[in-house]
Amino acid sequence: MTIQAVPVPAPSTRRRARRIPVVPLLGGAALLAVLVCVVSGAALAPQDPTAQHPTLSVTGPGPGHPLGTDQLGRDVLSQLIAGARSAVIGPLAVAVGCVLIGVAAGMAAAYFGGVVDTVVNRFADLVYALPALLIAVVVVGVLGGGYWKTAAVLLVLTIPFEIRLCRSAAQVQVRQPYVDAARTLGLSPWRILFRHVLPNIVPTVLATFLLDFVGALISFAALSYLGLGVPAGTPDWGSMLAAGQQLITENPWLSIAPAVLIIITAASATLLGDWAHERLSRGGERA
Amino acid sequence: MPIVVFLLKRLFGVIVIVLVVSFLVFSLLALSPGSVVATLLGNRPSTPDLVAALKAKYHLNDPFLVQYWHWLVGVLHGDFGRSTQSGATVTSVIADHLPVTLEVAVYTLVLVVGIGIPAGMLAGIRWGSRFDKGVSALTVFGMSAPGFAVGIVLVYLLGVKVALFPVYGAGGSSPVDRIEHLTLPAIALAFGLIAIIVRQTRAATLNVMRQDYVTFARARGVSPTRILVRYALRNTALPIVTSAGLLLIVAISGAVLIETVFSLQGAGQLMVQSVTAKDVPVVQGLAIFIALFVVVVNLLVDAAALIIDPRTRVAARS
Amino acid sequence: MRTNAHRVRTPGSRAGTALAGLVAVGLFATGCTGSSGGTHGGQATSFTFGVGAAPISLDIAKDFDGNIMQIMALVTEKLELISSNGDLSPALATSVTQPDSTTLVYHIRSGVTFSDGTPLTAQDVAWSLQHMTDVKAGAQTAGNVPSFQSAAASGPLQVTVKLKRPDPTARQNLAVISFVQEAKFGAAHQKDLGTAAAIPIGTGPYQVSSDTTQAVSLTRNPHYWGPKPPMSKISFNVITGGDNTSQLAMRSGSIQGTLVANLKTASQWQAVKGASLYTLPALTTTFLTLDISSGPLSDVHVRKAIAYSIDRAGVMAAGYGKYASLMRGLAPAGVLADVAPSVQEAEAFLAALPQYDLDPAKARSELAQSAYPHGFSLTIPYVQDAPFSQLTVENLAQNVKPLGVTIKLKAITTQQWIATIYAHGKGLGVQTMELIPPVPDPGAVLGVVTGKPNIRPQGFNLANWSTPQVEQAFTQLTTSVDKQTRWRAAQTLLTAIADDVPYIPLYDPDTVAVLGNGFSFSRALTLFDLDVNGTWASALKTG
Repeated sequence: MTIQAVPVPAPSTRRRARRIPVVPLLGGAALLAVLVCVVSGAALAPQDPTAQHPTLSVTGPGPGHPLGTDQLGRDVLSQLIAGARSAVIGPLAVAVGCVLIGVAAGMAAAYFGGVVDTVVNRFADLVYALPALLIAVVVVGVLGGGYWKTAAVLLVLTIPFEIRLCRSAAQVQVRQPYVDAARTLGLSPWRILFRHVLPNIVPTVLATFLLDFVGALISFAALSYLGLGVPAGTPDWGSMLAAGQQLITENPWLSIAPAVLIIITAASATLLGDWAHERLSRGGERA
Repeated sequence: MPIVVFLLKRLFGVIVIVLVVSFLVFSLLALSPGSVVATLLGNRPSTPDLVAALKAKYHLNDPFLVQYWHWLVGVLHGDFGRSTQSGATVTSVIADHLPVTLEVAVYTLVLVVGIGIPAGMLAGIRWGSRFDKGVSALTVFGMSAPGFAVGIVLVYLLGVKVALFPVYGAGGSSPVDRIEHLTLPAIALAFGLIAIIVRQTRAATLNVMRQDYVTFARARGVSPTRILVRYALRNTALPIVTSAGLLLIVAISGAVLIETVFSLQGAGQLMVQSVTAKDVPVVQGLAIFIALFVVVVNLLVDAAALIIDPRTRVAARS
Repeated sequence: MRTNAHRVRTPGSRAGTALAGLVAVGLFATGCTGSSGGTHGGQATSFTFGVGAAPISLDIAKDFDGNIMQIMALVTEKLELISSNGDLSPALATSVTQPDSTTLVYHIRSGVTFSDGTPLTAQDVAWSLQHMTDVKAGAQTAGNVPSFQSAAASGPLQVTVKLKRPDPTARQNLAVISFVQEAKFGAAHQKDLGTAAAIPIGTGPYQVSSDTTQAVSLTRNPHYWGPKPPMSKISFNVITGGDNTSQLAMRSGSIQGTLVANLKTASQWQAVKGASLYTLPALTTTFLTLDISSGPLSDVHVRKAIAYSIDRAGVMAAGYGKYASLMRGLAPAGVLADVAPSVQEAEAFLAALPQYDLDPAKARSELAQSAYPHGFSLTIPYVQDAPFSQLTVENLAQNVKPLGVTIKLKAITTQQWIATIYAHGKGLGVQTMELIPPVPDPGAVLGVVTGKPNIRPQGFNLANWSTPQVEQAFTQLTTSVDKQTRWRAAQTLLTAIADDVPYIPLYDPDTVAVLGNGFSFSRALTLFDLDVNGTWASALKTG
């Protein structure tokens, strides 16, 4: 009898398996579009996203500005395209880093227990308990601000959540018979964790990955007044969202457009992730 | 008695952590830019005498460790000091701001557990159905949308269209008034976490439903509800309890955005305002309280984990 | 991880943006169900005003902020009222005499009682003045009257104030900070005066009936000596969500008045049914400071090139809509009003000063004449969301790019900004600055940013600028009591600033109040009426 992870059940009818997956495809296309913007940056934008026209401050859609302008008269559409880069890369780094470290630590804590568990948990407790703003302020004060320092700060602040969630999800798996069986067979702990436990906690991991991504995106803008995040004048979805709040009747697109893009990006990633997970689990089932 | 030993060990850990946090926070405050005196005087005219007087009043000329020691001794005698800004006792300041935060946290927890778990379970049981697809789509949206942006939409729908809920403030002391005022903040706070809980619950429920013993139970004629309660609920309890713990922690220490938007003068706003103004006694007092809270909540969650599933009591050993 | 927007806290200032810096998300919906405001039609007796942040203390010495003053001026009255051109009129002091240049004698009104029934005596006044100028206790108001030496009761209804030296603005500043409260109560509650447990007792038309983190409520003072105020109850509700939330609150009737936080939203406010906007002329002075002591900024041509690279009119419109005016010199005309022969003359003088507006050609030619014709680089800190700060430097950075000048923008918090300015350290470079003169007197602006004595920590001569001619004018402005001499000195200083460009004047934003739900003001008000004198409440009327 082969040892296998307990899979998350997937559609089992053959007919369904042959149907074109419309939704994941759309998601993939959307993500691709965003990625193109990320790579190309301002090159794809119809106008220079940093060109200011203060007299055109916060006007709605009109000739030359399909989505209107922001407070200094910069074109919103161009800023959206140019802003994809800073909006995606940093938060993505934070989310990926969080997952890598958090999942590993969480699973280790669940599996090994004892000292490892205690250390991991106390570390998480400590980070929760320290006021986040204070940490951010001190980092800026001592090390200076900047995009990647922000990513590092956010990474440290978000890891405890990842750890606790992954740990509890892993705890459920670790007590399953297949883990005992694997251990009896002499598989190394890391092999057990990554080949067998991890696939089963993917739904949790994916969910927290998305939340981390969106949360980091917002936080980049939220912390900008401290000198963290993107510097002023650099287009960024989060900053546009923040700046547009009070100006929502003058030019609603200033807030709505970046919000929609954030949702589309994150939702596409989720849908793709779900679909990929289902496909891969199905593969496992057949083995 | 393993439970007692466990509790004692953890309690010791609580004290250590709280002490460490208090020292770390004090150090961080000392490192943070800006000065208490500058904050108090602002860009207003002042004189060297005034500056010197303020420095003496707040012991700013003492060495760092001496200042920390003063504070620690005070705390051990139960005196958390007074706010440098208003002169009110730190305990009264915290007491003014904490209840709202706790109420929102509890309300949010009720929403998350009350909506998330049944929805997730139902989606898991009725796997593949329209309900399941709908719920899954909503979780995707829930995790993708920035919480406060969704809050805006909700308020627009429930406000402009139908004036159901108040939009700012925490309301008076009557429970009905409070609940009315705190509903929208609670929903806004609950958004992302409900999505996670639904997904976890659904995944765990699916797991359970596929097991042989469930098929066997159904073959025996055991009702789905019974199956749900006896098997699914217990198996999903662990991640749910953890998420509940996390939610409480987030609500206490990280809900500043919600508090600003809805004009709730809660602990989050207090922390931000005090850190910004370098109001050391208040920041220290609040940080201690939060540290205590965080550690106790995690303690309860871990204790609950032990109770819920005896198998977790045996740590895996290679 | 999340924080909220910041507030610039200066005397008589508006809560432009609330404290701490995050997305202050506005909401679009109707506000509280259940109105807590006045009745419509009929006899309205209660009024609710929205304030942008919770008061830290109700003792002005601990929280010298315009919002708090707006509340407490109704409770603890002043000795004198001050108008927007510096004229003083009696309040609790029926008359003031100045036997010599360092003595002020206040004659206190008789028959006045505090809200708890105790009669007002000279002792209460003397104690209150000491309290507000108490350097040892760190009173935030003490710096306004640095020449203050002592205040003592010299008769049952007479108080003598002695100054350390002749000070042309002492009486005016005392009019601003002399919140008179009951001495016995104040002295008995030294530690927590101003908290909800120990609210100052005053003689004003109102008394504080409740003080929570969400709202401060005032009810009529039955012992008030003057005419009964129109509203029997005034509440100040804390709304931290920004203009959008305040608009919702007004739409739903939960508040009847507030100040516009972000002037760009004024047109949204006008769209609120029944709302009327009142522009309160303010004396806010915003400007850029250029540290001439080192680097490229020591070259006057560089400074002029910078001055020619800011689209002041454009940024002003972008940041404040039409609710601001361009400053033609480093002082708004209103501040010169009490030394100039007339406001018109002050305005004419300012208009004749050299002006610097966006002119790329001139900027280029100035830079070519400087020691840095190929450009240089500079880091400029800014405070987020403050139009005079963020928008201005963003605009500057963009406009100087073609000249080869690279400006790196650095965001700092309000606290850091205050701390930097306050510390007056080395390498200030370009700073964005805002001054709100507590009295309409040029000394409050020009006497603060010029002069060798102000080149020091806690001194605001951030340009480190001094010439013999300027020093002489500075001394005259700050010590002479002759109006003509001071006017001439002010003119000298303003001309020198315009020629040498150590400071680049920017904008003077208005303060805009909104009243709705049937309320309006019965007469034109200024910011002094609102924040300093407490006379705004008597101007409230319904219909």
